Amino acid sequence: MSVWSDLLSGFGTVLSPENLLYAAIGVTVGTFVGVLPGIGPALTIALLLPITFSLDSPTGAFIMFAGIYYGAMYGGSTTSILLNTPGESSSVASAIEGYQMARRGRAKAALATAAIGSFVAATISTIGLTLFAKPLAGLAVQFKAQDYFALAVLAMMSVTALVGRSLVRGVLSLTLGLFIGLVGLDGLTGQARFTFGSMELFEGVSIVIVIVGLFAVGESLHVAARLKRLPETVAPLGASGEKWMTREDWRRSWMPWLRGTAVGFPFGALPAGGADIPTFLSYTFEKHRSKHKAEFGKGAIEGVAGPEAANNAAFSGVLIPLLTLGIPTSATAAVMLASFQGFNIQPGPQLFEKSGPIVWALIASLYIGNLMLLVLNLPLIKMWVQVLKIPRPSLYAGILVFATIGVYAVSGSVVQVLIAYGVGALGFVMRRFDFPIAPVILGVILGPMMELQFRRTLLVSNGDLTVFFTRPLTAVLLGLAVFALILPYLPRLIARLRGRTAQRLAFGEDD
Amino acid sequence: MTAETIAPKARRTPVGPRILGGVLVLLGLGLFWEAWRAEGEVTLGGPRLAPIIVTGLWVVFAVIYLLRQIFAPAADYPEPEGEDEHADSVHTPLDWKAPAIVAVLLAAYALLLEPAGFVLATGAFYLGVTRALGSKKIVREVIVALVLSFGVYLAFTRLLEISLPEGVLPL
Amino acid sequence: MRSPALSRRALLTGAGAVLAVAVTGCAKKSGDAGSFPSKTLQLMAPAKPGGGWDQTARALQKALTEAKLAANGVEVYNVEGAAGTLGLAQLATKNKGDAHQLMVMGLVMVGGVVTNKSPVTLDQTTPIATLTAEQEVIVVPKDSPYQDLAALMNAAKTAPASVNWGGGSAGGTDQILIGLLAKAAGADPKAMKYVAYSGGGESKAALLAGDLTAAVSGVGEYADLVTAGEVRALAVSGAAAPAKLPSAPTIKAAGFDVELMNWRGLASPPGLKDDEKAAVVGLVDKLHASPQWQQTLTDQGWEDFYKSGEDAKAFFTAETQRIKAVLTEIGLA
Repeated sequence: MSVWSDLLSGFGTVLSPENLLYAAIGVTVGTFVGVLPGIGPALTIALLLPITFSLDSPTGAFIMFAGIYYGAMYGGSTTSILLNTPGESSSVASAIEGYQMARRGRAKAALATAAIGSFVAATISTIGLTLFAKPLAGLAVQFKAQDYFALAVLAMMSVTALVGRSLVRGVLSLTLGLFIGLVGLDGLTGQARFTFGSMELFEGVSIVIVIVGLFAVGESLHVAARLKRLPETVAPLGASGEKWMTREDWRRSWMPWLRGTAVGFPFGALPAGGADIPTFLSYTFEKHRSKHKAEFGKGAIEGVAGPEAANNAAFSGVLIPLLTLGIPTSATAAVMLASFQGFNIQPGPQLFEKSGPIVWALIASLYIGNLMLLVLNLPLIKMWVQVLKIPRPSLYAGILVFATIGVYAVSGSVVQVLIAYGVGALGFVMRRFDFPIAPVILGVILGPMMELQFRRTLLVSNGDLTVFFTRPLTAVLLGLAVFALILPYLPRLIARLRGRTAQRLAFGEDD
Repeated sequence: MTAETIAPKARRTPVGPRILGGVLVLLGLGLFWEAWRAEGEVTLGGPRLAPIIVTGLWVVFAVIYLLRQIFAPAADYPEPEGEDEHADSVHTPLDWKAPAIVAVLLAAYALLLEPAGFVLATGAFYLGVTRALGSKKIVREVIVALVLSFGVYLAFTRLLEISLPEGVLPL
Repeated sequence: MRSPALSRRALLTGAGAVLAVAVTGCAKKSGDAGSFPSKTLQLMAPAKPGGGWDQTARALQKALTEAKLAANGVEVYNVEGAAGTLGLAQLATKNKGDAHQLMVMGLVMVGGVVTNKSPVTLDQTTPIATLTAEQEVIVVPKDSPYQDLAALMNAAKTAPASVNWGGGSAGGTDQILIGLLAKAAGADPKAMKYVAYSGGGESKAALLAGDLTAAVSGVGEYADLVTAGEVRALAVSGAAAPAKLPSAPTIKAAGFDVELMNWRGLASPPGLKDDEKAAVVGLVDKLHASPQWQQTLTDQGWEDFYKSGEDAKAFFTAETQRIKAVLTEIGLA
């Protein structure tokens, strides 16, 4: 088959001691920059891109680039897990269970399942990319505005599990996220909304600022408020001779890895997909399916394994519209597009014909970068968990410094730094009063997508609402959304229909 | 300090959630008003509908939250069972002093970043925060502050080519 | 040019130093007095890292350094927000009279000043030069009934609700071009149904999925799809067909008197003395003539669009008037 021979020649170009060295440098530098809170993969790549440009061959640059990418992703997950300070929306889901695992002395297992899960997912999805890039490219442009709207509604309804213990508090968190998403100039008309006369708010509050504020700053303030009640160390390390993952961990991780991959890859391939929504979907899915439901919220390994796999699988998916149509669907992809152009490579339908060898070299680089990550980072886990030994005052002072640099470096504006601190104060209040954080992120991501696609649909259809029901794809997605909404209540509804006294159905109770 | 002296007088309903509920309702109403009085017609496809829906939702749920705090506080915040040392809940007294100091330090840091420069502001901020968070090892923190502020400044400006404010130091 | 071996070594050291967060190299080279630039040039990209202005700024940084025109180095910094008008405000207020400050700007900022009702306008800067430009292209799907621009504009004139135009953010270059076209075709610019997307990629997907009748974007965005036959280019907005789309007709050739270039240039803070301004313009003139900059243009596929000094000033003013007029007619000013 030609795909395999192409790939093989790609490996031929890539496999040289020199290139392996580039991969190793890329992975290491990417990891170290990626661990800084507030500096996620997209920014890491943007920052390190100039280094790749200084290489003489595009192949060397690509392989280093793949290394930087995987390193940055993994670095971001590391801080999410160890310190509850994710740097990008796609690592928020793994922070939920990962941080709880770290608090209970299982940091090594969490980091290991993240690293191995990333490897498994990236490998499978890169194979998927190799085989299905062309057919899936066609799928991506089947989605019209109303389908995106329906997809956003479906995603929103599917992740209700993130709402947490109380419906009222969960919805309030979600509303806060939706509100933050509204701030700025309206994407369709340019009308200013909730900007209160300040031009600093015209482009809205960036998701990075929301995440850095809610997590890094909010967590630091929360720690400050509990100094006297917290134990001496940040979290126990676990026994030093302990294995990364126990047999039980493996048994509980491998299915979430595969399921996360299955969710992440196709989602990434949709324009406007990106990696964040599938990580939340994977988290919810694992929570629903798990035999260890009670452990969720207290450090269930499935809740790290699934989202981490989805996150990495989504990346290969994101490459499909990027390579075949030149459509970047995530911040990281947009940065990659810029870098391709720096090498005079124009992604698009002709890419495989015009620059075939180099694309196959890129795909081969992904395999190698991915392998290099596993090889380098599994042994490094021992070192990363040492971060937890840093005395608390120094650790959180450092987190605040890096959070500030992260925001300042992207925006160049003290006002944005102050906005991040303000969001941090909100995060503190939310932690104190037990409001869940994840719905805020969800609202910021899904709210604008729902609103803009809904209005685009109406604009295109000249105000005709029936397009939401007459198009089969849209109708199916909306139907699934309704199903996802009632699913958790289904057992009780059935019980009621059968005439048994329903248990408490009071508003806001747990299920 | 405060945490020990004002120990929780057993089983009093915490007042924090009620205050928060009140603040949320007022804030929600303010934002709803802002959405309501914006320019232009409210149409299905226009920019005005979503703000009204979202802020409306906010007000409704904030009112529900407030009512629950007044009439059934235990439903939202049950008394903690057992003695989980790390657990933070509305029942434990809020030690506001350290977070307040950190918040002030943050504001000062942001405002001094450009005039004083990254290195000075960061060094001072780091020392202040470690102190506020209870570090007693002054010498060690001073060394860390120096290494951190200079190291990060040089790494970012020289290697990553991100400019950070120079400020008063001739770097 | 550095030799590959050298740059590779530099890279390795660089990487090692990141890891070690090495505390070295803080000594600063002292500049030779009298000649410009006498200290580090500060180059502002009024957008986030990775965007068009940022790329331009970094390309300028590279070319200035390699052409040895800036002995004390060039620093790029980003001030993100509001179509560059936040950066503009900062340049006009904080950096007044500082000849070593420069800002990358362009047509998008001209539009942003109008749509954002920015209190600071380009009149408050010292115009230095325009550097590069990209043409816009109007495309339709390959199975579209519209074979030429005249047919499309005729439909837009007689039944504006039947044509879904798509492009970048509201009030940006793409919508400006549609407004100018509508005016030239005798249609009502305000009646044009414009669907805004946050980036070229998003509108591209929408065009391919069939949501849009026609899309407008930079030539680079669609050149590959046009060549592959996935979409049809009806017209390009420059004076002659660009290298990437050699067979596309210009809007003028299609019968409408519209020309629009998405240009990028440089501006200095207000309050520069005449000799300072002359020095900055002289530096940019030298840069433009350098083989390094010409190489950058070739590498990046940017069209050379050079006007400096008084020419640039006159051009800024003319563009501001024209853009303001059309945005007012669309109803965005």
